[in-house]
Amino acid sequence: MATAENFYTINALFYLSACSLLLVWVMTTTLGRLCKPTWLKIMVVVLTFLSSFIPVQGLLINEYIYGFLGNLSIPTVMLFVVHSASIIHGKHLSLAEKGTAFQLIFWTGCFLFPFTLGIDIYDPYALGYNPLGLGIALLIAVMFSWLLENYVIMAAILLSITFYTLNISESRNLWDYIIDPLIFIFAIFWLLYRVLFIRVEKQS
Amino acid sequence: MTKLFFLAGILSVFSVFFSQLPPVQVTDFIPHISSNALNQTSHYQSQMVTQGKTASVHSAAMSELSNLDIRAFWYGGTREGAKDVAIYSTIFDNDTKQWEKAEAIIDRHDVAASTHRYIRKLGNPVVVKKLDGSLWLFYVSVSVGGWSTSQLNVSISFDEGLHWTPPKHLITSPFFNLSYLVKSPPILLANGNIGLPVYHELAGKFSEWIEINSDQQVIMKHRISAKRYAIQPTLTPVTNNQAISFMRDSDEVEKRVFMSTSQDQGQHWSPPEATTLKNPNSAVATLPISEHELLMVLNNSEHERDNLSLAYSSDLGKSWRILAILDQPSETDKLREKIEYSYPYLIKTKTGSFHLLYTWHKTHIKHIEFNQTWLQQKISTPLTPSSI
Repeated sequence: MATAENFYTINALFYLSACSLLLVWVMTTTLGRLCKPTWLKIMVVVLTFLSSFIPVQGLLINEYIYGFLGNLSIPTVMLFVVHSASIIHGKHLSLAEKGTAFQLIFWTGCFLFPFTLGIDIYDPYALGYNPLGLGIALLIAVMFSWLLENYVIMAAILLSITFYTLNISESRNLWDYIIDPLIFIFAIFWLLYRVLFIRVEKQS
Repeated sequence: MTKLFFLAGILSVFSVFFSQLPPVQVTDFIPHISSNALNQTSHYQSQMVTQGKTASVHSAAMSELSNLDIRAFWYGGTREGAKDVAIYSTIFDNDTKQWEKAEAIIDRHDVAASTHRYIRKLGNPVVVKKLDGSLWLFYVSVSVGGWSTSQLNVSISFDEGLHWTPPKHLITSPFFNLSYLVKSPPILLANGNIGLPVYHELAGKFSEWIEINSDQQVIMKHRISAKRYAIQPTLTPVTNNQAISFMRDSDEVEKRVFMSTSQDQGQHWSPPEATTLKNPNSAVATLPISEHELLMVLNNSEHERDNLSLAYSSDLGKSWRILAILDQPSETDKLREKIEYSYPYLIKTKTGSFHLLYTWHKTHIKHIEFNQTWLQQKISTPLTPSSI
């Protein structure tokens, strides 16, 4: 029989915690209007995070989510961390910074995912295995975001590059550190909401 | 001052990143054409590998061991996709020509515990023996949904299959790492890495091959086909830089086996073209027997998997000839609800024998062994109904 490896590496704990933060995001968004006092919101954040490490039928709750989502990208983890932190200290990122970041994610996803799913023989995902060109593109993006003082994009790229260098994921493909379908879908909904919201606001 | 600090930070992060990038390598294939042993009497035998331990079995694979025995793998359980499905293994004793009793080697709980993921079912093992003697077993697991959401795993044995390392997850796609499956034998590359033919069947239905290093990580992938018509590729190196891939017709328009070739170590592939060989949307197995000759095991039909045939090409797949019908329903078999000969897996051993495993009506794994002399007789004799 195969030897089962039950211990948790730092890498596994990192990605399981990311799944826990997703649960936190779902819980706080769902209960947002019910939990008015800040202390109650903080309680929801802490309790949801901790309870996701409770084993159910031999697996932790967040391992069930991990089975479906796999290794989330660093910007997604950042999004969840920032969301949880914003509940605690009450500060939010500026709409302009978030808007630019989500636009970048949207266009990157529009380029990457259709090819990944086989619409053509060209596969940009393969660029992530020897990512010299991708790295140069990210360096240029960081320099631009630094000049434009968009620190969200800058931090997301620098952290992705750092975690890739630290080999935190099972993947050796740089794409897996900078984008995943979850944040791509989130970006689509966020941008759609902004476009529709602003249009309605302008009309009124 | 703060800006300079930021700039220094950015450049430091990228300096470390660029300094640690892997070197760009294009790796040669190792064409696997073993010696022929013609001074033998003709030999052909078939027998069941499984003894009905599980009601449902499918997708067999095998590798020759150092003592010339063969270790086989497949998945089995109460039904395909059931929660009790495990990867089973057993040994073919080359002296007695008998299969030993099978035992489960990996189940879904092993994979879940090691990869920290919920695992619903397992399937499709394939195996390769590296030059250091270690066996690398690749198999798919599903967490949510059907086979089209499969993910790849690997376990290694350093004692020819007695013990296995904890399952490790392979990352092959940025799309939730979904829909990568295996069917055909992996190959060894000149740099010691493994080339694994894989396919995707979630949105598109296409074929690729991936390179896996000794750290059990995917370090490169190359696409063989795109869109939705050719899956379950074989990967057959014929020289150091040339390879052929044959694929199952998954959209059932052409109803033919597809073929693609590469002249540059598998980096780029010709657009898949339909061969003359029929295909009822089923997997094929191929094996090179000389620099220009290929064997293929396939269902020689446009609609059903109700015969298993052996085909031969003397021009690297451009033209084919059916040599023998290896299996077809007996009168008793025709009463079965499901007639199916599928998922052939063909190898040639150091002794010059050919071994074929395949799924027999989804209830057994069947084994056919023949030697070079039997094959040469078939090549030189036109096929007649009573020729085997």
